[in-house]
Amino acid sequence: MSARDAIYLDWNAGAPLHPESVKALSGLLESRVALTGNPSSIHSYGRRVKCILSDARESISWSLGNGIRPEQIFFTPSGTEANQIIIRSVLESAIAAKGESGKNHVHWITTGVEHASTLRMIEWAKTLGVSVSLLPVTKDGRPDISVLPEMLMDETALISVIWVNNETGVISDVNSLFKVASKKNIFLHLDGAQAWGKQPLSLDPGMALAVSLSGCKIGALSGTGALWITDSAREKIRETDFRVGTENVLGIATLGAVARVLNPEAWAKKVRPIMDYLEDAVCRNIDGVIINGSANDRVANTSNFTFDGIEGEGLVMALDLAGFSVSAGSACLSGKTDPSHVLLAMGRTRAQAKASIRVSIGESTRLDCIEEFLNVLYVTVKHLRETQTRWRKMGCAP
Amino acid sequence: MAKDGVRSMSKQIDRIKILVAMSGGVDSSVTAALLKKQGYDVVGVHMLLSEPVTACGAKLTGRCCSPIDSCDARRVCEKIDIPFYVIDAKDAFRGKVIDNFIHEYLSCRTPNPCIQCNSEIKFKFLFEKADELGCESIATGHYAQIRHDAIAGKYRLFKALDPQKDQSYFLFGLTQVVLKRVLMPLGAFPKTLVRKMADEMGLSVANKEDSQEICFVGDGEYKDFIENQTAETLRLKGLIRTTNGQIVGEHDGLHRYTVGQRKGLKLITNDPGRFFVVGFDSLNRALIVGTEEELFRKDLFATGVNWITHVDGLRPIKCKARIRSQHKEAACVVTLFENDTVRVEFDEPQRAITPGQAIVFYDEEEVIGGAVIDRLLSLE
Repeated sequence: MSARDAIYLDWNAGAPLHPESVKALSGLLESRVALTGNPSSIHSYGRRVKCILSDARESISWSLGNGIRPEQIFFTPSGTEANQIIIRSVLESAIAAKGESGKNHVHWITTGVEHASTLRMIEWAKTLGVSVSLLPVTKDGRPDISVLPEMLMDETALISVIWVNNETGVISDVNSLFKVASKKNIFLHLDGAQAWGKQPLSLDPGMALAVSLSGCKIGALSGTGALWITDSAREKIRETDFRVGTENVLGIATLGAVARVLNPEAWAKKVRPIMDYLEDAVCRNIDGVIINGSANDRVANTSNFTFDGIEGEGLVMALDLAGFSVSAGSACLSGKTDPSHVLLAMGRTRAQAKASIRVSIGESTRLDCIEEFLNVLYVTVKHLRETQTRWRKMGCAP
Repeated sequence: MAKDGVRSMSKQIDRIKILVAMSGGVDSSVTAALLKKQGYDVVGVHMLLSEPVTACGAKLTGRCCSPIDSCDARRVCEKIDIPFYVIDAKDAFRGKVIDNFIHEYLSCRTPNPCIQCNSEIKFKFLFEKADELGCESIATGHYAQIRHDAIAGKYRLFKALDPQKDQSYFLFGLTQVVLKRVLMPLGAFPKTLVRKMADEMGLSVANKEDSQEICFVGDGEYKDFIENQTAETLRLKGLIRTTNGQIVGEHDGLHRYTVGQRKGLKLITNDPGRFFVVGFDSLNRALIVGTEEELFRKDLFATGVNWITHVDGLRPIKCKARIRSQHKEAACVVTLFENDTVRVEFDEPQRAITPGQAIVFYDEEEVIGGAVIDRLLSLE
């Protein structure tokens, strides 16, 4: 089945283009003048393009809450790069501040359930001599903030925590994080890619805080992202020219356009009943199923299921053939899937992690599509369990 | 883009669903395209078989794998509008093919990993995936022909029409249960025509080079691969002896040699060019060399026999046999023993019969069965 008629249930990977993005794009394409030039130029063309960036910056700051100023928003080429840019800047600044002798005395705390973009920075940080600690994760997938005070050292320069987990939808306890970090005046970085637009963000502009945002998760063009960095956080970073080069004006315009209409409460009101219906139906009609992270507060659109005795990868393929797009684990460049590091960090076995899929929906997902999905899911899970049991028994030829 | 509409499920149920094993090369791409044209419901699957290796042989960092081949396969599938998936088969391939390859060399045999891959991965591991996806058959880009004998109710395997490309030798291990579910649509086409079809269908791989002989060894030599993968204690050095017992040199580990080899022996004797590897004395870790005449032998034992056509086990079978992929098959008599073992006696002596290689039995164009050469009849 081609992508044209498939029902899309993988919004956390990338949301469909938001109607506001489409509107912004078509407006810009009609008036080509607005697309000519470099925002850094002095002339009228440059000014016009620069205004698009300013508008977007303003919309984004509004979407983040009161007291947040547009000049605290920095555009990045993606959410991934937002994470990596801020981690690199903070750690490099901390190393520089300690001088030559301080090389081995910078400490970074993060968690094992971060997005791959953050986890990949651990190896890099270690090569610079940064010591890295991982905050434990409860078996329900929530970073355990209660042990954070004990992990803090005088050398702790940065705490990075994912706000809303992309695979399970579990919401981290950020209020406790705020308390610990602000008490010790430690730079706190929140990966807000999956929180933006799904979760009311009550942020304190007085803290040393940075939040990464991603465009493609809210229905802006992919290849767009942003960082919100508070003034006191900026003081801890030596270099704030994060981005060199001409901005992605079209992408940023969509980022601003969608940010302007984000409304987490209204969104949750639409999405939650549909997801509750889905989870309830799955648990009632399929045996041997776990909803990962269900004991916690989760965002309204994400469910991560483990079906005993099946391979999630096979389920994703079989569902795709039937016309439903869901995901399992984390996709790699070649297109194969590895077992989810998030589920492994939550203490699931490799087999359990492999037996999992993520369903994530959005504001335009309709209940009748979920009904259709459920009917196919029941049959497919049953078929896979039977097939895999048969093969395990035979151990060989078909 | 997401379109949340109500669709009918029925249209997917009518058509026969076929999984095509796609390497990213031109043959499997054309296979998929042909089947799609014929109206089948085709699903493309690319198996990741081994760790990604860069052109210079270094391991790529990160977890991603031969992206060029999977990308090529994906682009073809997009072009012909079929679904495409990448399946991680690395563990199975490691266990069933690479480990076997290493073990065989360390046991003084010369393995054929393509045959092992066909019987263990393409036509076993992949069938589980096919079942999961509800595919009735698996199609590959192999050059061989499978025909259904309606009278006998059996499937039969024949050489490809293009003798240059014939791959039937590598497929002797297919059983009736497997053959029933396998399609090889390229068996009746010459390779030049396959490339032409790829070009006409606008497939981006039309001019892609054919794949290497041993895909997981990369650009280097198999010897280096084995040495990288095994402990030195498993690769003991020893002496080189002639068939008369005369010591003529030292060797760097028996895995570095294969029957019939002449190059790289470094013999200390008057006329080193006269000698070929004729066998191994693994007990004494010795490499046995002999003259070219001594390479020619008539009798062998082979194990793990698989008969595709029915044979009468009570009497000797007269047929032709091929002892390596490029060998011209020769007349022989096959006698069946218990435990899937056969004794083969060629009418004329054959050059460099090599334990570990397959011996495949032909009746003219048809593959009637095959086995793995275990040993020659009394070397000395």
